[in-house]
Amino acid sequence: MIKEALSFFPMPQLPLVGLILFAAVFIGVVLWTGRGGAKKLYDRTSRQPLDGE
Amino acid sequence: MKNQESVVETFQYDDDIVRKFTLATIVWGAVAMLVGVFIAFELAYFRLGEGIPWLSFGRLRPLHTNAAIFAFAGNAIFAGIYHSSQRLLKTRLACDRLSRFHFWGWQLIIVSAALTLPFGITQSKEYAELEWPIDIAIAVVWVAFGVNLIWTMVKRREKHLYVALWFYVATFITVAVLHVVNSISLPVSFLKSYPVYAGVTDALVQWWYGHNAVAFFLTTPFLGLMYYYIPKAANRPVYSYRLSVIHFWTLVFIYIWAGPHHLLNTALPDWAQTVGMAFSVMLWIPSWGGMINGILTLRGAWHLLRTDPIIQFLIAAATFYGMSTFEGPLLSIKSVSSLAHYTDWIVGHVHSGALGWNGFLAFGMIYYLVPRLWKTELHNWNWARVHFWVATLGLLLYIISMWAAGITQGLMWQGIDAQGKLLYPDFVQTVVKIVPLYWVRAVGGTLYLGGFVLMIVNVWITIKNSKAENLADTTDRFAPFRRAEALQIPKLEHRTLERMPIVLTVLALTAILIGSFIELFPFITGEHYIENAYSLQSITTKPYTPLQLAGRDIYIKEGCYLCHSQMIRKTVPDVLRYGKASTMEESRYDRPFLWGSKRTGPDLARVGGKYPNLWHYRHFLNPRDVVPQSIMPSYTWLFKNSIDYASLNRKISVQRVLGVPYSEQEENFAGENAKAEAAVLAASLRSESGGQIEDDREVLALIAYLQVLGQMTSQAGGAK
Repeated sequence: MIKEALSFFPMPQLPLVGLILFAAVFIGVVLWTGRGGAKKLYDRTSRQPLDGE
Repeated sequence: MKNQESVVETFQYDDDIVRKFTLATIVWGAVAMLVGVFIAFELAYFRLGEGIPWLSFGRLRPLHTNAAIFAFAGNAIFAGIYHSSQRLLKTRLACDRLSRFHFWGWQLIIVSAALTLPFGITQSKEYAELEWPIDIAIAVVWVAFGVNLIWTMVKRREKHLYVALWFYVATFITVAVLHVVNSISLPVSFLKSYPVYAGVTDALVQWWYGHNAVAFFLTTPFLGLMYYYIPKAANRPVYSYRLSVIHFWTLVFIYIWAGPHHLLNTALPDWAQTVGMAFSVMLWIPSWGGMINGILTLRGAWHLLRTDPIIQFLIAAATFYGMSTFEGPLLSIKSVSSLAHYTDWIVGHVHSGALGWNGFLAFGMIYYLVPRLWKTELHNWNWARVHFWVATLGLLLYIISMWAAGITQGLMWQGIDAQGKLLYPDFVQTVVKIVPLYWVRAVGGTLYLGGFVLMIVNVWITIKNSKAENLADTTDRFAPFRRAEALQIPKLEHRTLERMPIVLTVLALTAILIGSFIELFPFITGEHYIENAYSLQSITTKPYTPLQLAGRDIYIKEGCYLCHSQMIRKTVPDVLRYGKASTMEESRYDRPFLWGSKRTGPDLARVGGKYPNLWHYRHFLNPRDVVPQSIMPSYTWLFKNSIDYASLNRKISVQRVLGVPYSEQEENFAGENAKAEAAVLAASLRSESGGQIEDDREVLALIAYLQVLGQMTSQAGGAK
């Protein structure tokens, strides 16, 4: 049934669906990485390559 | 915590495996570039290698791309990933045996590629040319690499997973998905198979793979390396770690959608083209975010750019990453693509990525690694500086000549006079104009190779100067990471996620599967979608006759598709030059699709019936006989080799299994029918030319195939 439905679906709205999904991911990640407490963690993690040999 | 700090463990990194992959990078890099320079000179001077089948452009070009991508860049990735992961995770690689299996397995795959591609054993899907047994080997070795990587992450001593490791995980999981989905095919024999997808579906799946091979084999792993080696070489943390996290998730999410930009203005349904274009343009965001992040890591240490060749290579690499990822989305805009696609502009674009981004990053990494791995000083740092400038000059000559050639030829193809007629109706008129630029490109490539040879000598002397005792594994000390303790965090936070390699893998997989599903599912499952479109228009497509099918396989074997497209785009200049735009149903039974991606010669989608058989016959013998200025080499061996009639029954049988409407009788008598067809064709050629032509020569099958191109479909009412 789903297969049939998709087969006949002309999908003009897909670029829009994609855009909305991407915007959600992008805004989500920006907010997530900007949350309180992240800075300290990121400062520490970003120094990892410099530790050790 | 106190307890944890007090228990410091001593352990050793596996440096031997990194040394192995580093040396393999250098060896295969030389092969890839040497073949590249050779075929660049072939395009400038067609007589080079003429008459020797395995030296022809069509056979060697796949060897060049496979060697550059999977042998040179591949080994560089593995060297860098294994070196940096151990240090970022503060542990030895999980399993020494798995690492060795990975190394030797990968080299065996490369050798298999070198032993098959020059002999025309190819599936013809770009960057996925290798035949099915090698495809299976790739899958097995790749999984060994992934298991080793994730297992190492699980047994690490460091709590948090640094962002470079996320890029490595995304690389592993995505390449695995791409390779498996794109490679599914049905074997005809040990070294011949047909893909399960046909025509438009095959095109979409292939370019979903092809584009993301660039994204997840040549971009994400190198970005991970960039996020490790630039901070390491500059001795300062990455400019913005937050930006690197945003870079990762947006890049992984967007890239997977961009494949259809390789098929703009073609017979691919418009919605898929628009999705591909929109997401390609969006790629500007993460790409430039990443480039800025890499370059600004040098803040406060810009003087290193003048003095340190490692930094010069790494920062130039990030700059070329920025340039080529600016160019890529630009080329993905439909109107820009209509000018640039099929021209050398694309060739220039990919080389600014491959030589500028991947090459330079690999060189920076090698100059960083070699003195550390062999625990000695690099023989000569000035030579490294000379390498940088020679390579940069060569690269600029390469890119600029290809821009000029591509834009010149693209504009000439589009040139229309006041009466609406083509200004340059003969394709060859547009070719002779750009041949001088092919020479410039070949010189640029030679310079780039010259710089590389200097590096080989430098590394060789460095290694010779190193003592045997220097090869002991590096020892490090670190407190163990108490996994159970660390995971007892009350709420799910991103920091938790950053510690969980398996969850991270699943999330990255989800991100790439969303785009893949939406784009591919309707095609792969939607045979009805296409069937329905055909029946509405009462269109029928004839399958190839056995002789035509044999000819098609010769077309694939000789790599004809690398210089000739079979796709007339929905653009005015294409239709004026080649005829009605190509449609989906015309390649309905094409396994693999042969739409092509470059027009060094003209499009062949409607060449059937355009010239008499004798024209083709003379053209293969010596193209200059019929097109005086042609740069196509002669294909004399097609007049000596016999058609492989014996495999035709089996080929038709596999095609039948895949749904091509051949009858049982056609399957059982495929060889005989092909022989009869070839005899008729040979007789007519004998009477027209007055020469001696035997009935079983490959050229006959190829002519039969070319003469049916554009003639396979018919519509009720007689229209084609």
